[in-house]
Amino acid sequence: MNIAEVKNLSFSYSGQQVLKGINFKIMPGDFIALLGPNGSGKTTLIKILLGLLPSQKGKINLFDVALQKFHAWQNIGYLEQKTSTPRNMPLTAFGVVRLGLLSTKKGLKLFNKEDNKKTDAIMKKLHCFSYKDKLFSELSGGQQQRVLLARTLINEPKFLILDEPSTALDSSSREEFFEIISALNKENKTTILLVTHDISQVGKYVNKFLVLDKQIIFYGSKEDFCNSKEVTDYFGPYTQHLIDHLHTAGTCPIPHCHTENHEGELA
Amino acid sequence: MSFAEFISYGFVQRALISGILVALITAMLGVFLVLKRLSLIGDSLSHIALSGVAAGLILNVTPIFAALPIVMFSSLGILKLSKNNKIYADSALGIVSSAGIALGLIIAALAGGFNTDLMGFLFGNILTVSPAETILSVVIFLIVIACLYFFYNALIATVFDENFAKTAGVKVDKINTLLVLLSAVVVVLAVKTVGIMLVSALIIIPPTSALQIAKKFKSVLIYACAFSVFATVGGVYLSFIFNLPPSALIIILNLIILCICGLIKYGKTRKIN
Repeated sequence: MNIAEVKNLSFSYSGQQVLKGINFKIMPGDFIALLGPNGSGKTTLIKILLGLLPSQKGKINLFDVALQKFHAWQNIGYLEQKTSTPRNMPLTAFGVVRLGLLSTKKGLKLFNKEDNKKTDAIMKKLHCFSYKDKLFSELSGGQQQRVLLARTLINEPKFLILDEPSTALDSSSREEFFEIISALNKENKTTILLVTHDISQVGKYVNKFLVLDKQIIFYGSKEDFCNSKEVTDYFGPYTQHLIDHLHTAGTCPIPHCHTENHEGELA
Repeated sequence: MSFAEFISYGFVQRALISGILVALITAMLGVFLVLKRLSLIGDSLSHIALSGVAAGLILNVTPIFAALPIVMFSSLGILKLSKNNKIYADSALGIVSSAGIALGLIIAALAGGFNTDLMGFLFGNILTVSPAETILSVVIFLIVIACLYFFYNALIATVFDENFAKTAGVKVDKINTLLVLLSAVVVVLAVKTVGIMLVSALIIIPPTSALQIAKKFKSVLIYACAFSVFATVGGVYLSFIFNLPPSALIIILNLIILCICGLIKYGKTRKIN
């Protein structure tokens, strides 16, 4: 079973081509870093993948079901780059996290005591229980992000889509954040698609890279990334810099790569 | 006049029943509309109601019943326009609002003759609510309460974050449609209570007051309802004592409550700082 399959996807906005001829498959257990410069179409791709934007051309399947017929949203967790939450929304952190259970509800979307217990449990797990009764709008950026992550993870989704989720976090919280999602990937085999700019931070966790700039520049394993002609052609003189980033984080997957190719830079 | 004597009149009882029900539903829907930054939809729809009322008067149909389909249809138009990325939501509201007034004025000018009746709808007259309109208030109240109960969490999710709500399987488009259609129905009903010119105040002021002092969603709903009902009953009662228009007094009382809530919030913030 594929987690997601994108076939020949194209998208234009106001006459400008944003995505062109996108094809890729996401397999169970993949942890993919989606990279690309600003305006490369990363967020657009994710929004189309989730049905938040209409796909103008191409086909998308989620869990082998056409997107238009897909209803098993409890299998998908989505954490946006930034939410457009109303400033004075009278919702506590607990209330926000519990909303994550809506996708498990059929018909009337009403909560019960079991849902409250589940909410408490995930908030404890993600260390946000201590401020569960505080208004979401009064939390710091980092606390809000933690609450939103708890909301995303409350259903234990099989496929996590995270759009630059760590931008509001300080460096230690960021590290902890990646440890949490990495553990989900390793222990629960949760498939993760992570939009990021920070290749050095995620390099040690991911197993695949997807480089996008309106079209797919590269999609493959970390090993192939370091040796890819497409990557070298696209990034030009910055290729070495990128691979160095992977080295700095101690995450270059190529055996003996340090000594053979990059000894000088690392010394 | 004592309060007991005041409520012994049949027309006062009808006015209070209808007024309280309108106060409750405008406050509850208003909470969602204010948070969704769609509170001015009440203003636009009430202006559209002007054309509906004028059309009703010219066709000799009960104005509220004539206005209802027109306002509901227009509410869908506002939704469609605001979803179109080329027009901002507030611009869409402005367009529909001015179209409503223009059409209403043209119909009124063409018909002549019913300016007094039209004035009644412009500024409201809760004391002339008929038994049929009271029954309509009860029916609409029950429909709104049922919708808010059944779609409560889906509405909160949609107001909180539409993209999240969509990926949580909430039919956001249907929820938005429901919200604007309910708003349309409630606006038409409220036109009789406070009038076309003041109906949006009933949707905006009580929720805004409640948002100053309440922290939880349910508390906001309860406070908004309580403020709205207090202002409506108080407004009608004071109109008897001072011989002033009840619609204006309802709004003035709501504004006084808003000021008090604002002061309470200011006091709390100062204490914390």
